[in-house]
Amino acid sequence: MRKLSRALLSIGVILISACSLDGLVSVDDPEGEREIDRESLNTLAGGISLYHNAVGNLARGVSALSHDVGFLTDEMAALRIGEIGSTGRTNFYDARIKTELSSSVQGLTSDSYSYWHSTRTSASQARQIISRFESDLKNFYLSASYAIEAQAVLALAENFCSGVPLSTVPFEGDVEYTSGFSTEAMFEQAVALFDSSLSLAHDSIPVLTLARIGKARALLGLNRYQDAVAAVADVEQGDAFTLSYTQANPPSGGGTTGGRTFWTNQGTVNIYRSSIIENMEGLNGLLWMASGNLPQDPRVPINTTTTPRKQNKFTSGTLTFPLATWIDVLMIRAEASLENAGPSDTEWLDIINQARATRGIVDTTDPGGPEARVNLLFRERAFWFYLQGTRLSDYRRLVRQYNRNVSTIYPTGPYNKTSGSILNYGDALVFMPSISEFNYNPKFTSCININP
Amino acid sequence: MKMPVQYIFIALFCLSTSSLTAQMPVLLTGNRLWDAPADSTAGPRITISMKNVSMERVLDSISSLTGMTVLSNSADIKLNKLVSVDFKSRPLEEILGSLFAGTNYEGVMSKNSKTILVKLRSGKGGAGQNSETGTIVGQMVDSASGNPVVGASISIAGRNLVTTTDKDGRFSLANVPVGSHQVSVKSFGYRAVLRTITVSKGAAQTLNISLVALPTSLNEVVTTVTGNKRRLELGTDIARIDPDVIRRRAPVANVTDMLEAAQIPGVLITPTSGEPGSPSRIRIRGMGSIYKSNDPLVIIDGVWLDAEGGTARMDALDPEMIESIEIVRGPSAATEYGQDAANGVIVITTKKGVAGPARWNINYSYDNGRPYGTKPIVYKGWGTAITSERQMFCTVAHVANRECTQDSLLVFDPNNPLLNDEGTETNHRLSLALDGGSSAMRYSITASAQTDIGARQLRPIDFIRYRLLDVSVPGDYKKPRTQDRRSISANFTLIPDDKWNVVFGVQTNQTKLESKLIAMEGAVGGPNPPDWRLDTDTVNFLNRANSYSIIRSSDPVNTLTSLYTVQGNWRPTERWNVQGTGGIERSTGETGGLSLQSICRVGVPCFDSTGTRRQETSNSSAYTMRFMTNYTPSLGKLTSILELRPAFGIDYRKVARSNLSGQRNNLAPGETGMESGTSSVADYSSYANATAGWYLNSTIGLFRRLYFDIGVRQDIGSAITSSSSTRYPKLSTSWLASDESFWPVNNFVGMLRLRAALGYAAVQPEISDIRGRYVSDYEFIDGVWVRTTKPTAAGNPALKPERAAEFELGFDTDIIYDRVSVGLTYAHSINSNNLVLRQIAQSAGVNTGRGSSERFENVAKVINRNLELSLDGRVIETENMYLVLNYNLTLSENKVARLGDGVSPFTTGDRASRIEAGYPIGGIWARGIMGYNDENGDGVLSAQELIMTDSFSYIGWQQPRYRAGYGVSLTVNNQWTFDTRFSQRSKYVQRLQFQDSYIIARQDVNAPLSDQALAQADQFGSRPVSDIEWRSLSVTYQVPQNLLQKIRARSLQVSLQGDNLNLWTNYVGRDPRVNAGSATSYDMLRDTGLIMPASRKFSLSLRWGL
Repeated sequence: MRKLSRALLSIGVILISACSLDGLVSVDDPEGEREIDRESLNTLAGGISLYHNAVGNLARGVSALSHDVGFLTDEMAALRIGEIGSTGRTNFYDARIKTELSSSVQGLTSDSYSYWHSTRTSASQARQIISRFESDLKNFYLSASYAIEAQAVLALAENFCSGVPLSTVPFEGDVEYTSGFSTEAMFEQAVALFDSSLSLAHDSIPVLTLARIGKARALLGLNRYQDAVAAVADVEQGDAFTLSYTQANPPSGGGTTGGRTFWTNQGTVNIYRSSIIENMEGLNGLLWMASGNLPQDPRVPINTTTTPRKQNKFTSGTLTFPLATWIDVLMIRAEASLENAGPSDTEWLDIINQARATRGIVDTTDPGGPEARVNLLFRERAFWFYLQGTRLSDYRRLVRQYNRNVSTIYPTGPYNKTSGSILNYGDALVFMPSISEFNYNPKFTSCININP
Repeated sequence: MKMPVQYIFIALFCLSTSSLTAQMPVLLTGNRLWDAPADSTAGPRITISMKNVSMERVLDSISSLTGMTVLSNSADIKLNKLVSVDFKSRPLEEILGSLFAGTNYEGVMSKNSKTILVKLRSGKGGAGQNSETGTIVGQMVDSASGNPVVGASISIAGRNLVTTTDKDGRFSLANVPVGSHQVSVKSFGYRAVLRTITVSKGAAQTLNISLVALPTSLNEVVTTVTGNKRRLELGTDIARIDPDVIRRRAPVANVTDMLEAAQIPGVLITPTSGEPGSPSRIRIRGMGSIYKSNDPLVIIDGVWLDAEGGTARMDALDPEMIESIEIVRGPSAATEYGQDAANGVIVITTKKGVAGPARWNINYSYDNGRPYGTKPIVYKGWGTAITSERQMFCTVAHVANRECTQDSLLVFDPNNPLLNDEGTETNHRLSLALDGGSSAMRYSITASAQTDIGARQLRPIDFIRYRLLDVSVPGDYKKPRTQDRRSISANFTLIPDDKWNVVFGVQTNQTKLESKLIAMEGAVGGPNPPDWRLDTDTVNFLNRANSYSIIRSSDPVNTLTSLYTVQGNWRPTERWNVQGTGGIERSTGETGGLSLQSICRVGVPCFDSTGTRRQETSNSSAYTMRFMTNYTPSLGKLTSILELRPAFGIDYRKVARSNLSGQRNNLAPGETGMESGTSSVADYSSYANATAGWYLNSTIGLFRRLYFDIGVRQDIGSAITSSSSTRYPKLSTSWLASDESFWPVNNFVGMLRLRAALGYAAVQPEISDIRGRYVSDYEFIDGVWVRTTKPTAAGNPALKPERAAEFELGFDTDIIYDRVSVGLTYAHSINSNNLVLRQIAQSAGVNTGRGSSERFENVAKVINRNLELSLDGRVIETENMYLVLNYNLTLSENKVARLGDGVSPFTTGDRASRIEAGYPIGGIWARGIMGYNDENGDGVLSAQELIMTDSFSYIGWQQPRYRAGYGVSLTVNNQWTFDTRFSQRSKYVQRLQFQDSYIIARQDVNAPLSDQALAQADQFGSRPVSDIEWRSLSVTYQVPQNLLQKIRARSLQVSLQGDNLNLWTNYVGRDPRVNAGSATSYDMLRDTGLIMPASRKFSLSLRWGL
């Protein structure tokens, strides 16, 4: 009996030890000079640092998109063979070759596609963490992260096909893939996120400006002109949300991804920064330059010393990018006014000229006729927002909301800027999700449609 | 399952027959299966019932029942009297008293209850009563190792004269009647020997015998976490290496050398280089993981080494301290070691010492060798640039691109003595070992030192070149690669009493690896490439007008590895055993690189320029704690047919690593410290993982010839998610068929054991694979830099360990008068849930920057199949000569059975190595050449003129599918041993980068277009390879006993050995194992060349025992 007792006691001790093994195997995350463990990330400071990552990705997305849109539209004409041939890149965008299922072309747009989603996820995860802690800045960061996430969804809605997945990854969870959201659904989600941003009390004018103007842009995409005007009613002249870019190195300890230079990721930066600008790119392009290329509109500065002409708006990687400004408000109000304007109404023209006056540009006149008025309005937008990533969205709205024919909007006709394999402009109208979506998202098979 | 049911039925039938017990005493041969525990005064209680049998038979049965040895001290004792005994659970003392009642003899138990001495009763006569006797003395040693055989039984046929050998293998048998006798020598695991010897009156006859290990040692004890077990009881094939045997085959500098010399089927050793300190890659039964490590676990005295670099640190262990090495393959690794054991386990046991007076062992070895084989000639095109007319390297590709005009082809022949960077490798090893102790304490201490000076040397041409530049070359740069190792190992065993003992062990090894390099980087500000037009016959390669950058660099790596172990064993009762093991393995590595630059010109004094200083410290600690208990229950009447040994254990292990590194650049001239320099880089990292597990295991034996080993293990760990199934069951069976009554007595198949096993093991992911990784960084926001956090790797919370299931089937047999032993094993493993990096769709937003993010998913499946054959034939077996032939064969197959839905085939490491479902890990692939056409007629092929297939074609596997080992061992007069070994590899593909024609075709515009096409397609080097290697030749002389006595030595052994003696290949070149891989070109200017193969070396070693 004594032996049995001893045996049972020993086994009991061992079993008790076995039961408490869970605590023994708990270890810290790997750490390093720059490596951050998940515990320290799950703090207010950690949440804010994730928010900063969202802002950084937003800036990168804007940088990549403004470049991509410039090439697909008439903002930047082709770089001729020989000028970028050695970089290995070819002129798929400006040839308007459809990007679907072509990995080499996908590689070009996947940059901005990737950044928009990284922006969404970082902003969302930052919000999940920040909401756990009480702080005077809590509402600001929650509001700002909503606005930034909404801006990313807005960019996807404006430029990518109908049917973009908006998958999610909770901070302490697994990837949840989604199927594609239609363009309309993305605009509505953007509106909802901007509304969430605006519902949180704080006094940050830049964040409020981004949310108000962003919401208005989304409402424009939904054909809700008066709602858009209402959304920007509280924006005042001088309000703005801007993004900062620099060519300086980050402080010691910053990684290779720390630097944030405008157009830094678009290959040979200087070549792109001095990209060729042409009048009537692909037949439908604007006359960016007056006769004889002079004088120029100050909104689209051009280097007049080179042939062919090259844009002179973004010539440095260090700049302050205007993502949401008073001009946006004026253009939204002008468009809404024009939408209801009778033949003799001039409010819309007055607003356009009010905007022109801010740069000392002489007033323009009513060209007469609805179509010409719309053309004027969108020409004004094109000049104001040159290389700011809005031109493709304008193309799409012209087709979708103003019933213009694609062949009258997008570059078309003979294309003679490559070595000869492409004879005419292609038919790409939107950007496509990256090839990774087709390969690795089990809920995504293709876009709902690839029309504007 | 048919057999166990049958036996259980038989067992039940036997139980129902009460008289059966008395009729089958021969079955009661267990040494611990007593009815009740031993009584220290009256002996164990036993049950015995026998009628009309001799006293000798009764004593045999008692011996079988108790495990006690029965000895008699006089030849006059006759035990043929017929008696009957019938005792139920009575003390042995009582039984012996009854047995010898009425005789002149008495049976006396020894104090330790291990021996029964039958002697003449006092007053009835005694030793020496018969004065016509003599004595037989002698020593029994192992024929392979020369080590003493302890506990061998020496008896005189027909008489009850028996004794056993002591710790030195010696014995003395007194009172042997004068005349001729047949002396029988038996020992567990050795072939029995019968010798005739004539004893003279009052004289001592000497009988020294080298015992030959039984070909198939089923009684051999192997180490398991549930206690030591006989091989017979396990259904898996565990290979056991005796270091003393291996030392007689080949020079041994470390554990990897032992594994390679042992030629174990299923174990593949691939050296990465022949230079000192270069680790080898060890693969046991193939590669199961696509992304994770395929290195086996290493366990020393029960303590797990850190899996990262474990096999490399294993080689820091002093090989003289090793008692045995066991290779645990396949299913047996599962329940034994569970998590992370999927790649097999190397179990090392160190020496614990033998009780007795202090024994010294002095071992010294000196190796001398050099690499051999013809090195390939290298060519380089040279010409003039079309646009600038400057001289430049001008290859076929340059010409095809119209960049230059080739005017000559430089020939670089590294076989030219002037360019030879391979000299003599020397290695000294000295070790001093001391062991001894008493019944209460034993010790074993070993100290050793080893110096290895690598074969790499500064080329003669460099001496000339630096002399011209007036650059002094320090002496230690002439042989730039050296390694020193110092080791101290000690084990102390405390044995307070029979019930418990504790072993304290410490192994400390310090290794210093030094790599120095002096090199000319090229002309400062001169043309690119540097203006050397190397003509190997003249030394006319320096442009005297140019300045040259000379780099001196030193990269010492100091590693201190320590292992501290405590092993305790407590036996509260004879049936219950508790073992505990605790230990820490610590490793500290310090690297301190220094690179200094000076600028030199012919006729002008050199001046110092900038330098770089690098410092790195790595620490690793691996903690192990284990407890195990096993119990041997009393089964009463079932004892004769059933054995049970259940065991339960828990273990815990944790690994923690840290790394701190820093670098200072742009050191000012003359500065060497980390404090100077104008820019710096610093980093640190830490990492930890922990695993805990419990297991339940039982050995079930039926009729002592059918065994089952059943167990299950469960692990939890820091990198194991709750959703993972981490239970690892195991089942194995071993059946000694030749012991069955139906097995015919024959000399063709004397023994046959069939075995089968099924088990599971796993490979864990890393914690960061599950949780993901974040790094801190900066973002430029609102005009200032602010801290941010970025994800750098996406985690996968649902990740599970890779799960390996392995099935093993085989047999062992001794055939043809026990002259030939055959072991055959087929192993089939399926590694499911294999971890594969898979892209995450970018819509998830966890991308690391602009690209796509990847994370591990359990989607692939890898299958390994191995057929392992070992064959030992004793061709000659006489009193004075043994000739043994060994052959082993491994056929391997590896296949990625499934890669995962949506996972595209991908390349790894080497650009030609590709992972694709249906093909092996590490298969060599290439795109096919459809044709070529020199369209522009310029005589060279451009990339556009070569037509390639879009898809890749499989060429072959990098691992040899067929491996064989051959050995011949001859022992003469127990003094001379001759041994030689060969190994053969075939059916594998290597990328032989230095095929002459390949090099020419890339460089020579006049090379045939067909060769240019192959070169252009980068396929020249990939080809099927086979080779035969003469691994070793060894002659060992064991100094005989009479000479030893004169020099007062216990033993003295002298060996002359050759290693890596020759290589026959089906291509022109060197060792394919190091010829392929990363080295793709000679740097003709610098003295860095090909990866160096292992040297052909000769060794002289002395092993001296005092």
